[in-house]
Amino acid sequence: MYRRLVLLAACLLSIASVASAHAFLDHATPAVGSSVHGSPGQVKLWFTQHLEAAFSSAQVLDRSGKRVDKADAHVDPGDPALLVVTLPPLQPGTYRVTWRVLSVDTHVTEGDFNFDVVP
Amino acid sequence: MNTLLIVARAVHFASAMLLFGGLALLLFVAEPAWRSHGGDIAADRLLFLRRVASSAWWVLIASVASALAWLMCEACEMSGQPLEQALNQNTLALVLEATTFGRLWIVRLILATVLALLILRLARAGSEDGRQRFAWVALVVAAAYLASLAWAGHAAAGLESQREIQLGADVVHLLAAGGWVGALPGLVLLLGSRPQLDVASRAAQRFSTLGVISVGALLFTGIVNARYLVGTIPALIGTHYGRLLLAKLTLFLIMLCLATVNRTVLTPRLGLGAAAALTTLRRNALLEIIAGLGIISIVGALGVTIPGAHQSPVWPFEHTLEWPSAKPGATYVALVALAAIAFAGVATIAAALLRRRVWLLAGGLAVIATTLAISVWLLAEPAYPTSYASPPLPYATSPIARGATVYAQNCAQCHGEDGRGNGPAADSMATKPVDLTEHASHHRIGDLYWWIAHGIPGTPMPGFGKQLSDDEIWSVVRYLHALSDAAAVEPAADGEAFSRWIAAPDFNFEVGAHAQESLMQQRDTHLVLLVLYTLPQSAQRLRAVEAEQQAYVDAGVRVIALPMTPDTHARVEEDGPDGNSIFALGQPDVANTYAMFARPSESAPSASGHAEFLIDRSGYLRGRWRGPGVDKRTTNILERVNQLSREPPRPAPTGEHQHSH
Repeated sequence: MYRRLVLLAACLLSIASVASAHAFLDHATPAVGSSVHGSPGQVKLWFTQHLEAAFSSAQVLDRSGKRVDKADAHVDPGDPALLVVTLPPLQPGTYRVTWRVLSVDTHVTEGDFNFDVVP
Repeated sequence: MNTLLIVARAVHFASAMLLFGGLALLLFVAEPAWRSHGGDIAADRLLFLRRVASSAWWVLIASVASALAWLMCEACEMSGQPLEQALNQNTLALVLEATTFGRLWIVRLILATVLALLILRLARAGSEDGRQRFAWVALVVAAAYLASLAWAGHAAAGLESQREIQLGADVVHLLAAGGWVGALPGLVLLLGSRPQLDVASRAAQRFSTLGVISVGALLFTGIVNARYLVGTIPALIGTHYGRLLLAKLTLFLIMLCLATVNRTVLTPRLGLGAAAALTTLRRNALLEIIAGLGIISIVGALGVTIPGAHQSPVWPFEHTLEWPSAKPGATYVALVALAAIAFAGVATIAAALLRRRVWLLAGGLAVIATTLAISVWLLAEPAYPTSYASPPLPYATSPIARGATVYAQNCAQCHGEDGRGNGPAADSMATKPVDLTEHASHHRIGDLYWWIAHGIPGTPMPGFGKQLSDDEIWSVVRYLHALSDAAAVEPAADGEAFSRWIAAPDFNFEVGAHAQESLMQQRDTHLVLLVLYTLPQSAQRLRAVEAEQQAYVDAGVRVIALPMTPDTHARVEEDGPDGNSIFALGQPDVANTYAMFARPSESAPSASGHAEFLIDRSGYLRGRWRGPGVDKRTTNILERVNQLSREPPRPAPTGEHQHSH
């Protein structure tokens, strides 16, 4: 009887699998859609999972689609979920950050967002 | 490419489970069963061992082939290149050397090679002792080969403490699945090899025990994983991942029912010498294998699907069950009464089972079914596809300010400037618009979204889905949240606790030449005193705060001073100190949103232009002071801080977070 009850309880509960997820952008500096006073120096992107440095990158484009970052996007040595790309002094205007990252569980995600530089 | 990856994953999972399960069956089921038999069956034992070993060879070949196919798929996925370009030396070398997956694959391919050698030796070992030794070592290597798959899954990417829990759960889950599903083909092979009845009976018993242990472990670790990867019932029902999991669960239940019949009916019969039970047992094991293959195919697909916890669920039903927080007290009384009646029903069933009375059993079941139906009816609420949707916009000042604009243009006409249902058009309406300050906090934000987008049938509320964009509607939902909170804050006197928990809207700010920061980033590290000021009226208070800054720092409070209107800022910056400045810059929406929480009242009639807000370490608004008062202000604030510092931490406000895709 007891065994049957356990099995019945087992039937009512759920199981999950060995599964995988994706690294999503948790937050960024400059923040998604925000305005910053003066050139920000670098863009920092924090993700929800640890990243694979070899296959994770980000770039910053100006309004005309020209790439403006220093092409040095790298995963922070102290924080495997943080991607950093440095910038030269930027003129006021709207900039677009595009990113494509690989999380350590082998999933690629990509996305983009804008920020404004105001005087 | 995705299909190839799903197939490769499924074949690989199956092969790793079979290798481990086959060896586990040999050592824990077949060998003890043979040993318990008195007669001379050395030839049968050796024959079975050789069959297991030769099957293992083919499984290992399939395993390595699927591992290589999986690796190729990953090289394409990671590099973002098509197959023919990704399969070059550089990309493969980079994947193998520089990624967790690649390094794991090197280790696992070495394990596969070791396993191949061990299986070869196992089949050729002369003595029984030698065979046992090789089988045990092979089992350990096969366990490592199977369990290491955990590091190729979601668990490996978990952050901090979650990671160990998830990895541990995955390892146990894989081994348990291997020990049960992976061992089934071996059992079919054993039962099909015309064994002596007592050997078959003993094997069936031992396998059943192995199965019960595995099922327990699978359930426990499965629930742990589901909590992390799915998290909620709406995500289980309303996302692709959740539904795949439900399909997997259904197949698991079918396997469990078959296993229960095997354990409780067939195995005892076999023990009594009924040879017919052997055929049925074998047939059931084959059916279990088919269900197991279904489960493994789903596992193949789950691995390339975004987990339900990270997706916005689409609720498929017209109703949902919700604890009646906003329902009358009579509902609670009714529920308690129903629970008591249901308990009586359970007692009746227990009595019926003890006395073997069928009519009593039927009566008990009827009582439980009726009470359940009535409870469901009491708890049922209308629901919409977006009821549990996760908003694409955070609870932050910029969406709230945008929502305020959209609201003023589209909603204020009926619902009124301040949301109390007293707009100019409301007078002529038969059905008055609801007081949103009251209603917004009582409904799911997904329901608010639905009503704004699609209207409410039978009322004058129209749908705005055609005029407004998705983001605009969500920003109105966020604004309504702030509006409702602002109404809840209004009656509180300055420095007093609010009647309910008020989430502080997130905002961005900059201090001097430092990088942009957000309120959210201050969480857990310190409290925040947000000072909204206007010059010249705030000048004296600002000087006082600057002078007392050390006292705030000592109390764990960071002071952030923002101008009510951006143009008043410049004058302060010139006068203000450098370095550890309290003076910050932000967008006008910060001041506009927070001003909602500091409306003038009878106790503070001329309060506009200056307000201070205390935000705790968990992200809640815990106090507000209106007007630039200097007298005892800092003492009052630090007293409140002192009170708050004795509180345990609280979970962060719900429904505020979002991921940007």
